[in-house]
Amino acid sequence: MNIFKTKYFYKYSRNPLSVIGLVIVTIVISLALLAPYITPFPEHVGPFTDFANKSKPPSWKYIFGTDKIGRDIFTRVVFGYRISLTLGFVVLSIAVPIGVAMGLCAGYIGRKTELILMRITDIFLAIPALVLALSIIGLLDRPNLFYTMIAVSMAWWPWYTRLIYNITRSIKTEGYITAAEIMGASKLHIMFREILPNCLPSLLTKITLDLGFVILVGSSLSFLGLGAQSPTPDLGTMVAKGASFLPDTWWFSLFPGFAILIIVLGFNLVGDGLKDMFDVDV
Amino acid sequence: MIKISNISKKFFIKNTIVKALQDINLIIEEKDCFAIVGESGSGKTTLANIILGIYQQDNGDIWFEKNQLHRKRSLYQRKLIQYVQQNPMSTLNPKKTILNTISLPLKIHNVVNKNQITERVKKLLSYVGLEPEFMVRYPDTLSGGQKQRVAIARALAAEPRVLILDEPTSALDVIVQSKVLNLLLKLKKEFNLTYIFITHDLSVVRNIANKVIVMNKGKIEESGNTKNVFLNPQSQYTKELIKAIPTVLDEEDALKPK
Amino acid sequence: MYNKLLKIEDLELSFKMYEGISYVLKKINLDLNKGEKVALVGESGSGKSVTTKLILGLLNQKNVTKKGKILFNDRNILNLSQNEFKKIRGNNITIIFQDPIAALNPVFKIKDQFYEVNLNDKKMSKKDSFIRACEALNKVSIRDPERILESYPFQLSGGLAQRVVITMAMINKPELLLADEPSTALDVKIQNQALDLMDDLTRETNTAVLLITHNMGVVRKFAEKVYVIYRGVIVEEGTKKQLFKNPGHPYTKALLEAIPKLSGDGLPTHDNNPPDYALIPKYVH
Repeated sequence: MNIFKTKYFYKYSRNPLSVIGLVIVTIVISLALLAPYITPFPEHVGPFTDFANKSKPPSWKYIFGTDKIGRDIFTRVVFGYRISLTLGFVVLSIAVPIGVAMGLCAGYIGRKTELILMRITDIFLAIPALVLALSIIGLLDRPNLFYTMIAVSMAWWPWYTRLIYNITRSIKTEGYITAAEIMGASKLHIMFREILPNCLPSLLTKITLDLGFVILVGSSLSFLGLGAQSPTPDLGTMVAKGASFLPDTWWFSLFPGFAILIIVLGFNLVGDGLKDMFDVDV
Repeated sequence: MIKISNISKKFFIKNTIVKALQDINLIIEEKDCFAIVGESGSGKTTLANIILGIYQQDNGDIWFEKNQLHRKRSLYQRKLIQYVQQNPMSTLNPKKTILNTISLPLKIHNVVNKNQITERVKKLLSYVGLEPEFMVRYPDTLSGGQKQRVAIARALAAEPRVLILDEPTSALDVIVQSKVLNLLLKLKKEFNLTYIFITHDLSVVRNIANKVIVMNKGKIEESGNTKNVFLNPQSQYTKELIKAIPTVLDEEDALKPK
Repeated sequence: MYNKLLKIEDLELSFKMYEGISYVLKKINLDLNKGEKVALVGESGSGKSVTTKLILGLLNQKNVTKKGKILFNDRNILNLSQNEFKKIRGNNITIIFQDPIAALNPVFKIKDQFYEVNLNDKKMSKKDSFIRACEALNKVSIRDPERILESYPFQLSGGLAQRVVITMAMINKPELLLADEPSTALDVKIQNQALDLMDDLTRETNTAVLLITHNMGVVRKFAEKVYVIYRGVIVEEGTKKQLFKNPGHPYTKALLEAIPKLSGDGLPTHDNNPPDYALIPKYVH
């Protein structure tokens, strides 16, 4: 089935911005996947120094210039995308299943379950994501990418609970749910095989939008020094380390910062496009 | 076959008590097409929901042959009484194919083996006059009449003995309604079913039901054989209802009570 | 031409969709005199509802193509600007819908909704609006109108809400009232009451009514002239008497035959392979 010929893609492509977003995201993901093969200096990602070529401005050899110890910034930015995207996917792979399961149970099983689960969710929702993530990291011994991912996941699942809970509540009185109940379907079946498929449009849209936000939050945490540690190339860390050298060696921070902007923008545009295509509110 | 004794049900809405049903007694015999008519608020849907086990009655019992029916039912009890709902638009899960939707009762009640499901669904669709190609379609590509046929096929899948039909054709255009009603009668004969037909449409009742009860504000106003109730209505309420029917022929007008 | 309040000439409507172009109205012609009660009867998908939307200027999306004329008092309103329509809607042309409670804004009291409708006419204080609304409700035999005006829509019963909506639609004495399936799917008694009310009010103000419905019984009770529409084509046109006594077009006959009869002779049988009704020429009495 050619995806470009479907009715969905037709509707999606009515908005040029959505298409631009899709192009951006496709390019970034391709770059990240092919990183070792398409970057000029993949060895610069590990422990590498070349003081002879340090702090060189952008040129044909070093497209984004080199950093303080001579590493090619372009290569490091492309690998940095790998880290960012990994962060996004891992965080959501943890947060989404937890959030969805809780939302379905809270919305459908009964009053008591609802009260307990939603009160817990509300507590987590009351704290801003960044603050919550910082607090959790603070509890762990030393910062690294793995801990960052756990922390951000903990801050993220409640939003999925809230979304799925709302949808579950609104459709549980629909005819097809009643029909399944009368037929004798189990609660488990109804939650996962009747209600969940109806949550997919909103869910997919939210996940896409969230990929951008998770990357942003992750970059913010790295900016504060809590993300991947040297020499791993992390976009937020690169912005932070380069900030003290502005404006002379402006390329240290500008390109990584711009890279973050592009990927977050891309996911946002795609998410908005999906929102219009599915006609949902997340 | 089904005996309803002294059923009552109250609802608490905001600060008022609504007496949805008061002391309802009725007997439905096998192979009846038993009509329950009334305006909205008469309690007819509440009664259907109690028979189906969606609500629990406050007082009274329901008997199915020799067994009593409670709200918590065995799978077997659920299989015996199936349901076709009022609104065809929301009765099918929009994210499931027709095959998937009709397979559900087959799987729950283990009507056939796993590898025979597709065949059985094809057969069920043929009973309601739909081609096998409908199996892979989604509800949003079906018309109202087609959706209702799928709902009927789904209800028949579990091989029930009783079908409760709640305004099954009210949302349909008149020509489609006529076809679906004819289909329902044909299926009733073919599968020896008992129908409990809930509606406000008296013209439909006049032509398909052999027994009817008229409900008003939770009570039974009148009951009996359809012919008798229509030709010789006893209660004023029933007379008013019959008079209000939007008839299209002068001959029909002449048949209304004065 | 002189007397005709509404004259629809060769009206065409199509929507451009992913699957192709959908032709919804194919050159329909319809007219109403002042104060006349006309029914447009058809099943779902016939195009009867979009006709009212076009009369009210509500279909302006990019993928909509409109051709033909809608002459209201000899003025073509098919492509008027929204500003112009705002003057007409609520004043000269009003509409009532199938579900009265859904047609009312749930977060505003009835008196506020009356205020909005009254404002359409002229500048009016809330107090004057309240009084005007009270008078109007009193006239339609609604006891304690003050309590109704202070209520929210969900506090009213279906029948009462329908009477309120009809009163609101008529309070500015429009020239044309559009009624889109005003009978709810349930309760014949309420349906009859609503139709009687519409009849009384429109007779008084000489308001013409265009009734959109699929229910022949309603047509017979209410309309003077009838148009039967099938898949965007008018297939029959005539007075009520002509249509019910001598239906001409096969589609009209099929519609009438499909209705279960009070005589109880069993369900009507139907043709399994009906002809394409749209191809059979229009029957004019």
